Amino acid sequence: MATKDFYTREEQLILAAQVDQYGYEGFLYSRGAINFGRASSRQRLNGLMYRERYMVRSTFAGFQTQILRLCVKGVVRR
Amino acid sequence: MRRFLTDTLSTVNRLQHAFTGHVLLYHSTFSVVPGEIRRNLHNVTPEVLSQQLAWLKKYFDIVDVDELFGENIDVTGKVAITFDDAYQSVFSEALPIVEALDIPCTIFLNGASLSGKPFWRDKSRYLINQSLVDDFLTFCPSYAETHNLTTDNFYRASKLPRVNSAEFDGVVDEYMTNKGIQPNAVEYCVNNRQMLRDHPLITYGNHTYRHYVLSSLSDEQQEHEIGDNHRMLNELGLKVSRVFSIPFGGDADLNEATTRILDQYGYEGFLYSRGAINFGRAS
Repeated sequence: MATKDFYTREEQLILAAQVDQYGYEGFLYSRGAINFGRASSRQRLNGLMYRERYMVRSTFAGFQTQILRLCVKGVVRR
Repeated sequence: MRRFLTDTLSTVNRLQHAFTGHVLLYHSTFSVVPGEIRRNLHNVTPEVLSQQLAWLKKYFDIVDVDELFGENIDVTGKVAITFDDAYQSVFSEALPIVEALDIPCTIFLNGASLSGKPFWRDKSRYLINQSLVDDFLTFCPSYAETHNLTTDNFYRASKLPRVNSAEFDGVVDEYMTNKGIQPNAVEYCVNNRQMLRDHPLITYGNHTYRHYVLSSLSDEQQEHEIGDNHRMLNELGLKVSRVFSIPFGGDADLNEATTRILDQYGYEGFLYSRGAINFGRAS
């Protein structure tokens, strides 16, 4: 199945609801692609896109340390 | 030595432009934080804010947060600046800096503050900073016991999903009224529409009406929190974001009803606050 087979977003939602109704965990695409880590699940929740944020540290030095740590943490998790 | 370390980190971090995207979250930007809410408030002074933003502007592309959402958007090398809760200090202290640097930012508002109702977390901070937590717990012993609230866990426990935020806020209001504490003692967020500036660099976003923990509420209460603020924002006649900011921003602070309601209102997506950065494409 390819993305275009879902037609509209409304139809996608109806199909997803039907799949869910019968207790399926999910579905498989056949789009000639492989999967990497948790990349796709990190970017959407219940179909809605999200982004990550962080509360900025209150000093410039603390901020520099913070973004380096976040970067390392992010790379390791990926 | 410290300066050398910061300069080294800065040099290394410039390279992040090639593979990371950031959404920065600020709250208040007081030069001097009022004593009533000092403990537990996330504050970055205007001086430090200016330093941080100037550095980011030099090495990253600073964009509106809405530009990080959408199919096939690549966030690499991009940074978005966000301010949650609309503290008055953001308008008086941060916006002149943002304007001088000519960078966009998004301010996520709670409509209740605009209607003159103080932010419930500032009320909690007020009780802590005024050493009134014990007195509050004595005022409502059965409520405190049922929700396992203690002097030590008061701040954190009161924002857990197991404590209905609306109910907690109501009990705090009862306490403050009983003690004769005036609500304006904790009015630090924007409480006047005239303060909201109409400026091409500034976008306003939905942060719910009262900043309650959404997952602590019923579906109907969530609908009100999101929907009431959505309508209020759209009536302001200002530039409004299609991105939603989750109050508290953790995994446990939203649930399926939250995303369903956001989808119904046509939001493009939402922002977590989980201490993380972004990589590459959205989908």
